Amino acid sequence: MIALEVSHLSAQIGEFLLKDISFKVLEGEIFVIVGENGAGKTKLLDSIAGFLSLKEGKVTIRGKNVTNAPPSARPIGYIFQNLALFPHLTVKENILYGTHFRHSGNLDDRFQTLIRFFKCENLLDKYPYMLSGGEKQKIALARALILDPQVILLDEPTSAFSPRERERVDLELKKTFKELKQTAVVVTHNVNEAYLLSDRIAVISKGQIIQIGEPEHIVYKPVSLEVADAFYEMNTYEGVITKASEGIVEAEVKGEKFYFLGDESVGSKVKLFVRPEDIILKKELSETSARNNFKGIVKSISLRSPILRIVVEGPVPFIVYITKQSLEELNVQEEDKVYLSFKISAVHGIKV
Amino acid sequence: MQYKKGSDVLTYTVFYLLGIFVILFIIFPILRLITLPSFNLILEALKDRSVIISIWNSISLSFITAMFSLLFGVPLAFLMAKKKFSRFESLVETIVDLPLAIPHTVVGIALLFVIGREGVIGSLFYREFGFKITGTSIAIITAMLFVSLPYLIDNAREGFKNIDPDLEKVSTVLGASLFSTFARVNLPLSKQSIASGFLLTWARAISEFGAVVILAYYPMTAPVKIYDAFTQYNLAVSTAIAAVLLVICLSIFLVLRVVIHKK
Repeated sequence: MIALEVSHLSAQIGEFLLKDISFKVLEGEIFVIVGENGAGKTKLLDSIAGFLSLKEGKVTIRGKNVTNAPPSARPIGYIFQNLALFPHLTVKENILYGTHFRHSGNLDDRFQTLIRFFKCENLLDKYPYMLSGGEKQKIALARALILDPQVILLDEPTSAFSPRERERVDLELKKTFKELKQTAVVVTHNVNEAYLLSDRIAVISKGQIIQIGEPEHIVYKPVSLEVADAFYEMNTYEGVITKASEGIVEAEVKGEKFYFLGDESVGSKVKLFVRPEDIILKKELSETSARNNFKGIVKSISLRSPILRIVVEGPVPFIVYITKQSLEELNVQEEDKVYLSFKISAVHGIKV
Repeated sequence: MQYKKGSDVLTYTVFYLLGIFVILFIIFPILRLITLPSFNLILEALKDRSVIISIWNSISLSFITAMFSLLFGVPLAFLMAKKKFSRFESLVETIVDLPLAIPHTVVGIALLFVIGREGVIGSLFYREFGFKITGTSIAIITAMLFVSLPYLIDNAREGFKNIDPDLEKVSTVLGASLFSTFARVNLPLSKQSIASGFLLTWARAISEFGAVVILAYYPMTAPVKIYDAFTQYNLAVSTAIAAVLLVICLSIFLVLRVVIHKK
């Protein structure tokens, strides 16, 4: 069943434009919208919540058109970036705030279930300033969930946490939503967060959704350079198809041959993407099953915790990620000649 | 740039000296006034019933004024903080602060043309009900309200402005109407600013003389009584009344300030 459907949503906010955004979120799904700062993520959430009026398009929640409903009448929860707990109310008063205006089933049971679920029995009489970041987030979630929202929206849920805590918080959030079978739409600029939390990811850029898919699909099969750039560093090349047979395509980039899987026709231009961690680096030329083989000179080796980033120059340049242990085994230094290889499946090609 | 500790010390010294001058400039005349009249003279002044009435008039009418300023000022301050006047915003701000810039005797004369016997509203009241607004408590409250409203509005507006807009948004998403959000989020979170505004308004209203004396010499408020005593009797009597009014006002405001800041 579809929990949330956004179709052809367009909204003008000052100079900024959200353009023709469409997606469906299934019941119980965690749908993450990822994009750079200023891409329109929060504006999109505000449009779904009803804080921004639409120029065009429709928002449907469980089949009910809510496009013209005010925010207070939409069956949604919204967790703001700063969590927005009421500072003058206790934890208990915060959680129960919405129940003064909306009633859903047995309130007392739901309240007890939620405080047990979030283990916040001892926090009820405290004020928000007395809570840790994690506790605040639990209270904000409990406050939204007590109204049994059909969709919960989260704006950068871990931005207030230290980088070390983020992964734990994301996993906890995912566990919470899955256990409660809660549909969630999360926006973030953090691709790791998107990858950790999501069932599906949408990539937003300049007010437009440019790709929707499962995390693996987005990371390994980006539809454009923009999407590829959004998800980590990527080797990207432009070339022309020179051969194509039995699903294997040969493309030429600056006189070098790349091989990848596809059905593009000879003569067409392609963009090629190779992930730095998919490239194998060797000091000697040796037999390999990999179809793509290149050589070059190591220009720089730098630490990018927890891996090393190696820049190799040659007819085509490469960025390669390897572990410290691999580097020691290889015994490679700057200005050394190296051989690079990667599998046919490591190259992702898009016709341009 | 080199860090010059000596010049920093000099800057602080000059700033402290100027600051201390300001504090003394305010506190010295007040202390002098309180300590100047003899206890007997104060008792003598208080025996005069009209003195007590004038002090009561000042305190009670200014309190009513402050209550009216809450009623009319808070909604306007809220609209201003939420920028609901769009392109008229700075015009509205200027209008609200106008009373601060007009000499109070001018205010009195301007109001006379509205609520005076010949005034737009005053004449209507006189014709329809045979009731003259000038020379009544209503005239005093009108004058006090005119000159003191900006204090409440400006303070309340700042209070509303400082509230995180996400708190209002989350309240709305949780189902609250605009009024519920106002009552449960905006008001409690800006209560200190509103209370400060209320105190300043009350204080300003108590001290109002220029506009009040033009609209209502009677019933006498304390500032008018002090002026009256000063011109009719002598400096000693007016000093005694002034000292009593000062002590009462200071006590009220000190107590209220402590109460407000404790919350």
